[in-house]
Amino acid sequence: MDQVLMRDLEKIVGETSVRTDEETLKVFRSSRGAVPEAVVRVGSTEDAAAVVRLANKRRTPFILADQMGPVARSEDSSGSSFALDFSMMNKVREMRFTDLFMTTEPGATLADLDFALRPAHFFFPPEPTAGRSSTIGRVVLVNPVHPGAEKYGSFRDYVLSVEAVTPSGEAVKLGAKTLKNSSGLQIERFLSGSGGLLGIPTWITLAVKPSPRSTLLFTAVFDSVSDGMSAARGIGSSPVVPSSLELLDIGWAELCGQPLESGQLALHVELSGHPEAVMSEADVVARICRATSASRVERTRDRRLIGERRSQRRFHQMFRVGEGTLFQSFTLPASAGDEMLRSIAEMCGDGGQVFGTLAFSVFGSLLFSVAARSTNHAGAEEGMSAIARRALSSGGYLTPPEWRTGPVWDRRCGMTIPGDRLSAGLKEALDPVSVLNAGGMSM
Amino acid sequence: MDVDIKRLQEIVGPEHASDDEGELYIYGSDSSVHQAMPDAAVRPGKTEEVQEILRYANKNKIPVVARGSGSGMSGQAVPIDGGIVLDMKRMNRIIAIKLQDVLCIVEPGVVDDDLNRALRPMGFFYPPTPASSRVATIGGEIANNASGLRSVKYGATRDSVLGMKVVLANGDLVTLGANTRVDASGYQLARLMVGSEGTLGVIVEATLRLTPVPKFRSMGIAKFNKLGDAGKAITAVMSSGITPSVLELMDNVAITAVNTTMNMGLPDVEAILMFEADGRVKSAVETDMADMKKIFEDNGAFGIEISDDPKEMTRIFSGRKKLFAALSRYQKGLACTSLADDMAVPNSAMAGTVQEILDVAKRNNVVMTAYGHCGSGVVHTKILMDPTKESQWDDARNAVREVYEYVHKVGGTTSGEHGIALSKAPSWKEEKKDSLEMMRAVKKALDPNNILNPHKLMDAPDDWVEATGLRYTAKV
Repeated sequence: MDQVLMRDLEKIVGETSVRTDEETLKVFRSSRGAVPEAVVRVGSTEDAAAVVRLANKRRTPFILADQMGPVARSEDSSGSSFALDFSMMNKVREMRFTDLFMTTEPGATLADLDFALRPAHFFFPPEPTAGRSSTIGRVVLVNPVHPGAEKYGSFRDYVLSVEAVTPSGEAVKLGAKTLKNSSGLQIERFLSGSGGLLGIPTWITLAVKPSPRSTLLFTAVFDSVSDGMSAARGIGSSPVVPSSLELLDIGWAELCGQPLESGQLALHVELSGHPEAVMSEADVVARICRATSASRVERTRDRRLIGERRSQRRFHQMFRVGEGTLFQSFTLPASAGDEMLRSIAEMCGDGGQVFGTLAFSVFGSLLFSVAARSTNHAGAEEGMSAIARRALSSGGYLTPPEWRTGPVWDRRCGMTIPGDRLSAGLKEALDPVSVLNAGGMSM
Repeated sequence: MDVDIKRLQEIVGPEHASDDEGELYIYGSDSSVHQAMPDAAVRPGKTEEVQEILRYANKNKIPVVARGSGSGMSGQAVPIDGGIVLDMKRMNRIIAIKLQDVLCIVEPGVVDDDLNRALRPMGFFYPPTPASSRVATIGGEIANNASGLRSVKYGATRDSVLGMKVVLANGDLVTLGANTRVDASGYQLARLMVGSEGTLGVIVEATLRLTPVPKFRSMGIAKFNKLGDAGKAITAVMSSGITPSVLELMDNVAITAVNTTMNMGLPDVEAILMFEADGRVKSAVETDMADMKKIFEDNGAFGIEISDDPKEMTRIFSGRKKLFAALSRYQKGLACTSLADDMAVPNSAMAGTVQEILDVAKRNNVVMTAYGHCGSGVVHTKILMDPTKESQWDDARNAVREVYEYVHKVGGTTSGEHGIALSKAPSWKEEKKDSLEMMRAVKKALDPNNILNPHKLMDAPDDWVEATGLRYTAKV
């Protein structure tokens, strides 16, 4: 890195907050292996704004990151000089339970929120598949799909207001600390899911909810994948609204430490709410599973056990699989789910060994995550490309990976992302020097 | 402004484009206080016509204001710069209802009630429904991020919009969002369009999430001798863990208006709360209603009545839905104006806000009423005043300023549902002064010639009484 730039950055954040050692840098490499030249850790809005203004002045692109690495779905960050790491900005500013919101810095994790909310019997419902160690900044900027969206909506639905640093280095307040808001352009909602290309959130006000009065986990095992899918569809078209509905095949169940003693597919349904409503919904789920030939069913109300099992299914477990494993995730309308499963099964022997499939049902949609590992890496890549193309042609959308491994498939698939010219125009308007997350969000 | 009416007639047909003054007069106002004549009114019937119209307008830098039914209260559909009013009501098809995917696809001119009438036999509904649902169109609701009675449980329009097709200022057609519930791919452009009040694009198709009709519903009315007690009761319910499907406030002015004009027989007290719980398990609904009743009684409510008779529920809610019309006849000589008509505050500020509205009215010699979906922090007001007196406009403007100063002081925002456009723009620009430039940059990126609903929102005039016509008098 340019030494003048290095010194200027150190003047802003302090010497110890600018890291250039290899051990630190490799955490922030892109999915293609490119590493930034430095990691700059900011601790406040003022620091972040000053760093961004410097980057603008020097026309130096940077990527946004937290302790898990780059935030953007960036397949190529080689043009970025440094990573701006917000993970040190991790304070909770306020918790206003009467007003049903709390305000936190972006580096606080979902686990930090749990710790703050639980004593008051509140919770923040969305949980990404990467687990509760994800930072608030990441989940707001990526807006990942999550299993609880069926009942609780998506991350962006909880963003009430954001204090952000714009790509030009100004600090702005967006949105309002109210549950409803029709006050002009909803830029705070637009920022959510922007992958860190349009601004850096430095304080985020999120809606929170009182903890549900009752929670129940219903688990069913099926001897065939199609029986399990039938059960999932049956529950999806019933009046039951689960807090999550997840399907794991043998491979994925093995990976996450919940191996199936028998059967091909496990269905986990979490229900929460009024105790009587939960019992009634559990009976409906049980009836559907029996009607679709579930070989084993069980239920538990033990909240600790439910939380433990949920955590085991999350993707942070996937890192145990190691390098060379490929991941792909996409969302499909429910009507295309069966065909997709059949396609994946057909592609299994086609140059890639599909290791495991996990599917979440989210209100008429299915989120698929597919993991593949094979000694024939090129063959596995080809297989995953074919799966992604099939997903897009079935009316679905690719969803961003939340972990470092795994390339971005949309560009390789050669499909046009809806609205991408418009997105490019907006990016140019808000970040004319193109410093923020250059190379992110394949366009 | 030089608008080539023949060119427009070539695009949509001679019967659907007009520069007749009588017709233009109707298109010059909406439900707000503002009035301004366009130069032409055009009624496209399909997306390609919208595209051609916008290409023509963009090339010649002619303003275009899209309009549904004109039920907006802040001047969204008023063409203050003249130009073309684009009446979207001919585009009123329900294109598809896909129950397996729990969504529907509609054109923007579909009226909310018509959509819900089509959905109910299938066991679903579209929940954002505002009080004006008999006339409000889906396109207008999206443009304003509208919501209504049931928003406390089911959210606003932005929570139900999955995707849309939009014609941009240059005539390009873009598809935004997705036809799945949780699209995380790329910029949330559909989210940007919701609430943009026609300043960023013209919506020509919308994909909407559906909600199952709850099997059981029960509603009640709680009476209060003090408006502030009703406010406290709202706060207490919303932080209790119960999620009512309706939590609606009406103060004494609103009650009197409805009773006088419609003989509704609502209790003549300082305030009432209408509350409702719904769900698929009857006992759960009953428990929630009982819990809410207890909370209201703990906060000063009396004479609480509960019913699950659909006819009775419809009758009581109809009073609320017709309130705006009823307020117009509250007192002879007073007009019901939509000024400071809408705001949102944190729950903890609800009691103080409704009381402050009464105090502001007294200080400024106007009549004001407080009502609305207070369970989600939204308070509506109307100012009842004599519009023929200049002093009353001064009083009203002062009242607006004081109300919003208070709202901003307690951490609220200028609009919860009705949008900003013109009448609330001065207060809103004060609230959003940090982010106006960012909004202007977005606007410029999508509409470089500034033809789409110009001089609204961040570019609205600071003194709209001087800058725009008024429905009540030509000029004060």
